[in-house]
Amino acid sequence: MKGTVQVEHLYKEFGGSGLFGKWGDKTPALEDINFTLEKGELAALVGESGSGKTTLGRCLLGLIKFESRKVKVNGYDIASLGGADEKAFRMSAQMVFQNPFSSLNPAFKARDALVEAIRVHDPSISREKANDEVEKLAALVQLPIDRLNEYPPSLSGGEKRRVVFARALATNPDFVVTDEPVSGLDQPIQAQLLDLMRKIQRRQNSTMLFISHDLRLVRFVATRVLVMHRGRIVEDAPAEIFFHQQGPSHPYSRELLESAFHPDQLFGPQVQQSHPERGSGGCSFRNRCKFTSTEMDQPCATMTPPLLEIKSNHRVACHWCRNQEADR
Amino acid sequence: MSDMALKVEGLTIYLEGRTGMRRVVNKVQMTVPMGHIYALLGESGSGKTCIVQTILGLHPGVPGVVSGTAEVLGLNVLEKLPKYVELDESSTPTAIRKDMHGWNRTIRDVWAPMMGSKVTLIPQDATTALSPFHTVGCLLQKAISNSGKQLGREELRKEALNWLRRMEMYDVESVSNRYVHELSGGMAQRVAIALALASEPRIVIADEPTTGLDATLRIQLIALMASMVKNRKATLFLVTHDMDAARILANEVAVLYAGSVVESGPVEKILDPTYKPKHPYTWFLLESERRLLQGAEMFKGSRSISPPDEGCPYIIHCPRAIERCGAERPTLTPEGDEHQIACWVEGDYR
Ligand SMILES: Nc1ncnc2c1ncn2[C@@H]1O[C@H](COP(=O)(O)OP(=O)(O)OP(=O)(O)O)[C@@H](O)[C@H]1O
Ligand SMILES: Nc1ncnc2c1ncn2[C@@H]1O[C@H](COP(=O)(O)OP(=O)(O)O)[C@@H](O)[C@H]1O
Ligand code: SF4
Ligand SMILES: [Mg+2]
Ligand SMILES: [Mg+2]
Repeated sequence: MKGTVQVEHLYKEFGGSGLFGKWGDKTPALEDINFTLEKGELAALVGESGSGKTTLGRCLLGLIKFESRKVKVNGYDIASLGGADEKAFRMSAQMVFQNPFSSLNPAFKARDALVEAIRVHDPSISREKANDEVEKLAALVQLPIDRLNEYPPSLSGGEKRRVVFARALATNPDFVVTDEPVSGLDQPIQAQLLDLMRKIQRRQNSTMLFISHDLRLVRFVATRVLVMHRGRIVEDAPAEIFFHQQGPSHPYSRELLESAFHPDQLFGPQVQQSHPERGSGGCSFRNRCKFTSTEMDQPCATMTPPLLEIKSNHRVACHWCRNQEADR
Repeated sequence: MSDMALKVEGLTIYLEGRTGMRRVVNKVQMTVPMGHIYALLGESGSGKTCIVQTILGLHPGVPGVVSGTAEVLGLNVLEKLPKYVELDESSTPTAIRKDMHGWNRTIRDVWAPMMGSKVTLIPQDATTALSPFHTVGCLLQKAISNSGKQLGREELRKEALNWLRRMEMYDVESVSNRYVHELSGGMAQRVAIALALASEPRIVIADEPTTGLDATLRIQLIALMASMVKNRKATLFLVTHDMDAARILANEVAVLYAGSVVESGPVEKILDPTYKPKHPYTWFLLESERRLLQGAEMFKGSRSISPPDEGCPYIIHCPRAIERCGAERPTLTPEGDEHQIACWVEGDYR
């Protein structure tokens, strides 16, 4: 059960805006999410900004409330966590947050942040022992020991990321969500950190959900790719198929892949797109979709395409893709 | 008024870390003509944010500017600073005073009238930098009023929503009623971009404005920034890792390595894929990009950690270093039309 994730019919709606959600309407952030991860998988979660990636990560770690039929992570039922279970779960699942600027307390030296993380999970450990552990962790993420004595504001972006990473690894978790762990760094440093991430994940045989917007980087590490669009998973494919064999199926995934590897084609006159309102039914991608046509109008505009298996291990939510498969 | 939007000369910055004074920026020189788009490239930790923040009088640590001038719209913004650090003969820096009055004065006299209207900044970490006390709509309306446009309340509200649409957001009504912590990382970033453009400034300084955005959005937004800036003959100073954006949109580019500019000049000379870069570090940047796109084995690791104090900062990694490189620091020297390079070895690299 360790290192597995099972999600069935997960929904998340943010209460309106303002303090305590008093004003405005509800914002649906996640709609009918279904997937499972096996132990040892490194699944990448990609999709445009605001599509719900961070929110999904936070739901899986039980950091925010949500509705679902079933969400089990490491064998724990997240919706009904409590008491000793909760504590054990928090040790076994960790998150590397999106913003390293705000997720490190500027008043604590890097070393203290790590000692803290170790001692929260195991209060019986002595300070010295914790300190030794910290140095081991630092070595694991290749952070020079002398940088441990700096305060976060004087660490460079790459160093901050390493500290955050080390903190997440402090408890030897079975499941880790890393939210854009390398964005904002330059390519050689990204490559190094991702390499490190994959090595650690393999060595500990843990399961990882790697949230990223850069498919060029995803290609280096992922074993599976989950694509999100406006709160739904629209494609779930093995990385092998996505990057090396026939490529992704969903029109949105195709567009993502295309723009990641041929960015120059995107420059040119920009047309403003209108986006379908949320909750208006139909496919959320239809206004941008190249494949939907007049005869496809019916299903695409009125019926949300369900996430269905088109080949073993490969699921897509698109009416057009389903027709294509049926025609074969 | 001068026709230079930004003019930085001999800018050297020391900062105080736990291990003493450290030089993070060294004799940087940049001139950005009005109406141009200037890109500053360089790896993380190379001092890009330090330069931007010093020019804007925003430095978080007690600033240790030693020398240099930075003119913004013809005004030397570093002029009123008392000397804070002194160098002895062996160039060891010592702190001589720790008061912040000079900075406060500069900020009050020079920056307060310009910031947010004539000059705007798109900060690197939008989520933490935007005010948590106002809704997105409210922030935007304020920025729009800063442009000096006289708009009624309803028009102002509409214009704010338009800005969100231009940033490719959906459900704009709902977004404009939210606070920054209720947005996703990329959305906060886009709000920051909108805020900087909405006040129709003369200069936009963008510190990695598109990190955390996917390829489509990233390019759309940079193109949008560029076209808005161009239409108003304003200036964009773009700090970025994004080679594509720099290549296609910028007029000039400077490559920063460990606090020093190693190559600068027109974009078509420096970033053209078929052009042979003259500086080995520029080659390294272009080559890392090429490898990423082709899925080839990547270079790994930071290059600008602890460069030597003397000689060329790139010497540790440079495959073509000669004896002189270890002894003397190369300075930027002209290589033909407006193209400058800091390297002792002549000729193309590879
Ligand atoms: N606390 C909140 N209150 C209200 N709405 C929220 C809140 N947090 C997130 N949202 C909304 O939920 C949606 C999904 O946000 P999320 O942070 O998961 O996006 P993301 O995919 O991580 O995007 P990015 O790549 O930009 O980080 C967005 O529309 C966002 O505005
Ligand atoms: N407040 C500070 N005090 C001490 N050192 C700092 C401070 N801010 C940044 N630095 C150091 O200055 C160097 C340049 O940082 P920065 O300008 O943020 O780089 P970039 O923006 O190019 O990633 C880094 O090595 C960083 O550790
Ligand atoms: S369901 Fe229709 S609109 Fe949506 S991606 Fe498929 S073809 Fe395009
Ligand atoms: Mg996010
Ligand atoms: Mg920076």
